[in-house]
Formats: sequence, C-alpha cells, structure tokens
Amino acid sequence: MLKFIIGLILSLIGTVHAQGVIQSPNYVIQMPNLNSGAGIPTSNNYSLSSTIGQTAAGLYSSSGYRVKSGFQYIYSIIPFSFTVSSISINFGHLAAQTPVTATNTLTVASGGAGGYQVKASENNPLKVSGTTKTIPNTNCNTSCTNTTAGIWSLSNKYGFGFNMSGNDIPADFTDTTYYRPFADRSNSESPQIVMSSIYVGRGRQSTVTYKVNISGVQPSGIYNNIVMYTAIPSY
Amino acid sequence: MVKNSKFKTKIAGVYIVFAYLLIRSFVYSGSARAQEVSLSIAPPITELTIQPGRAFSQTFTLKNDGIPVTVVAKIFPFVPLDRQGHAELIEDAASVGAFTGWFTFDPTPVSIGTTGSHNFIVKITPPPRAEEKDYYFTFIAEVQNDNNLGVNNSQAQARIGANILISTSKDGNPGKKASIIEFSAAKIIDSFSGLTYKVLIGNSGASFFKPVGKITIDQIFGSTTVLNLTPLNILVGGSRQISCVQGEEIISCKLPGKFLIGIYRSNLSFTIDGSGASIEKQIYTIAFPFSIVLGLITIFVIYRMIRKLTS
Repeated sequence: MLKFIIGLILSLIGTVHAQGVIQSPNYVIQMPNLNSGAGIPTSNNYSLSSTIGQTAAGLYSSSGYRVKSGFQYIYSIIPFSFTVSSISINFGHLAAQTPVTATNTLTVASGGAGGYQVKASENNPLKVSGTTKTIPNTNCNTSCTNTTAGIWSLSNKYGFGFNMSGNDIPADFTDTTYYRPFADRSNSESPQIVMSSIYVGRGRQSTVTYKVNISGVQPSGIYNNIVMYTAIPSY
Repeated sequence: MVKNSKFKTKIAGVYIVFAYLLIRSFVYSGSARAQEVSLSIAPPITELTIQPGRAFSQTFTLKNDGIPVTVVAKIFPFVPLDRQGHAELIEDAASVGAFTGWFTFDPTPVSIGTTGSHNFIVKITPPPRAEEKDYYFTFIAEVQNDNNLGVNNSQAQARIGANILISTSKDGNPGKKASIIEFSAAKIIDSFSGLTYKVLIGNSGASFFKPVGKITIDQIFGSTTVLNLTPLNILVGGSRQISCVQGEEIISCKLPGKFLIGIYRSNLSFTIDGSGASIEKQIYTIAFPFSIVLGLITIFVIYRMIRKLTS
C-alpha cells in the first residue's frame, strides 16, 4: 500500500516524456531533429550549431554540401515557438455606432533564434461570404494606414481595425486609442510587422485588440475574415 | 477482523485513486487552452553551402502544444527587409514557382494532435545549372482555418517559419567580402552616460557570412574591456547592424561601467566566419564628468547668491 501511495505521488511529481528533453536552470532544451550524418550532439556542451559536411575541399567535393543548423552564439538548441491565444475572435451582435472590441494574445519565444518578427494581414475586410457586402477597414478619426496607427475614438467613424499593446510592438501604437487597419491581401497589400525584436526573447507577449464599428446603413449579414499571423526567426 | 481490515484498505485505496485523479485533473489540466494554437519549430535556421546538382535533406520538427491543428508546409523565397535580420517573404506564385524544382517535400495537410509533433523532410536540390550565388528561403508551417462559424468573427491563422540560407558553389569556397559601413560612438561623452557603439557591416561578396570578432576598448590609464560581436548572418548585397553577445544574450554594444573618464580608444576587429584577414577600424572617445562640473558650478552660483542676499 505504501509503495502504491509513493508511486502515485511520484507520478504526480513528474511524467515521462517520450521526446528527449534536457533541462537546466536556464533552459529547456528540446533536441531538434537534425538531418545530420554525425547525429545529434551528445556532449555536455550542447553545441550551438550542428555542422554537417566537411570544410576540407576534398571532402566538400565528395559530400557535395556543408551545412550548419542553429545559431552559433546560442549554445542551447531551443525551438522557435509561436502561440496565438485564440483562433476565433467573435464580435457577437453588431449594433450601429456601438464599437465592439475583442482581444487576442500573441506569444513568441525566440530563445534559440535571437531576434524574430511577427507579421499580420487579412485575407479581405470583414465580409459576408459570397457577397460584396463588407465592413471597410478603418481610417481612424482622421487617418491611419496599415503602417501608421491613428487615434480612433469617435463613434461615428466606422470600420474594422486593431490596436497592439505589450512587448516588441510598433512604436506608432502610442496607447490604446491608436488603431491601424490590417494589410489587405485581396488588395495586394503586404503583411506588416506587429511584433519584432533583434534580441533573444523568451515569452515575449503582446495583445491584439480588434475593433469593429458599423454605421446605421451597414447591410445585415454575418461578417467574417481571416487574419494571418506569420512568425519568423531572424536570419 | 482481518477481512474488515482488508475492506478498509480497499476503500482507502479507492479514495486515494479518486483523489489522485482529481488532483491530476487540476495539475495536468492541459497546457493547451480551448482555442490556443501553439507551435514550435526546430531548427530555426539552416545554412547550406552546396554544389549545384547535389542534394541535401533537412528535417524540420514541428511541435504542437496547442489545440489539434492541420498544418501545410510551404517554402517561400525571401529578401532582407531591413538591417536587423528580418525577412520579407516573396509569396507571389511566379517567384515561388521559379524554385519548384529545388525542393521536394510532402505538401499534403498533416494533422497534429495536442503535444504531438511532425517531422517535415525537405530535400534541397539546386539544379545542376543553378547560378553560383546565394538563395534565401523560409520554410513555413501554416495552420489551416475554416471560417464558417455563423457569427460575426475574425479567424486567426498562425504560421511559423524557419529560414534556409543556401549558397551554391562548385568548390565550396564562394567569394566572401566584408566592409565596415559604420563603426561609431559619441566623440565626447559625460562620464555617467555610458559609451554605446553602432556597428554596421556590409557584404559585398558572393556569399553570406558571419563577422567573428570584438570591440576592444582601451582606456588611456590602462584598463581594457572587450565586447564580443554577435556572429549574425550578413546577406549578399546588404548590411546588418551588429549587436554584441554576452553568454547567450544578445545585448547592445555598450561599454559597461558607472564612471568613465579620459580618452577611450575603441578598436573594432573581425574576420569573415572566423578565418582570414582581420578587418579593423579605430575610433576615439573622450569622457569627462560634465554633469559633476555643472553641478559644482550650480552649487557655487547658488552659494554666491545666498551669500549676496544675506550680506
């Protein structure tokens, strides 16, 4: 019985993971799956980059390649990770001149990659599927673009836009009243950076606040779109 | 009596198992929240020098710590976006189509459950007639979304990438050439303001490289401080702002110390990928306690004014 209880307690304390994970006070090292002739490094000094192929000219000509994976200044091999807190941002019932906001949280850990960027764009403005009915992207109170935020506080200014707050966000999001429209790919607009850093980051987090405000003449319907977030480590 | 004792033991066992399951349900309620997409990818960068016509296979491991997702693999060329190592993906069909023959991977959607992972194997084969130069790509894992919820909403689609830098070279020694575009710091500083350097290195060669080197700061009274440059990739035809590294942390290149005084000679020196001739530049900075002098003058003036008023 005693052994059984001890077993239960031990199982609560820790579980066995199938993947090779190495932990130190500073890092959790998730071993990458490098396609390496030499295999995954096994020494205590987990090598920054795995070098495959050979530097000597003769060996290069026989193997035909030389490759490095990972960053040479980061000795731990940590995956680049990206989290979006919610895949569906619901606005509920939209009423004229009654702005609705909803939030989403983006989290990036670039511990093994140094810097990073997250870009955002929409497939199209909020739109009733199969129709031409749209809620246009915001122009803010006076003006704003997908690269420059502007104040959007007036209830008679309509549209769809977003605000950013938190870590590594563009400087033009001065406070919570500043909004931008998303870059519209259906209008050939390029995705824009919403988070970026040149430094090693662990758990860098920002909040995207979506805002929708419609006029009294907005056609009825169910409006949807897809906002794409692309997280890429620095090279 | 024995039977009763066994019965009690069994009951206790049932309670313990129940308590265990209850506690476990709280302790391991799942790191994945109801709607959370959480992906990680390794390795974040692959640097490949390869002969045209030869092949190399790289495995990208995608791990899912969020809700179950369906993921599609894509590869896009990229160009440098700025001087800070950010990439601008080129996603138009013509640009992507130009490199179709370079990559072989499974483009069919893959379902990955919570805490699951998938290995995407990408075979890279530059065509035999590929020009000897650099080519830059990003491997993208794209979560598939379906937006038919019947409510006013915006779906969030997540994509995560890993960069692939390819240098095609027959002999494995593509020409590499670096230049110091800017190595600067303030010429005169206050003793308390610190000394921050700006390092901008350009690539005028035929292949990407990393500067491996340091900034050595000699103070006229004898102390020496060394700041190590971060060996960041500088792509062909571009330049990159280089920061410094301490342990595994990227930091700004700044002379530590709370009080600087005198003349500081700062020497930037680096080699391309850690070999070959060293490229160097020196600058000088004078540090003087202006704020202390200003403070003393202010105190003196106030003192004189008080003396004048009281006399």
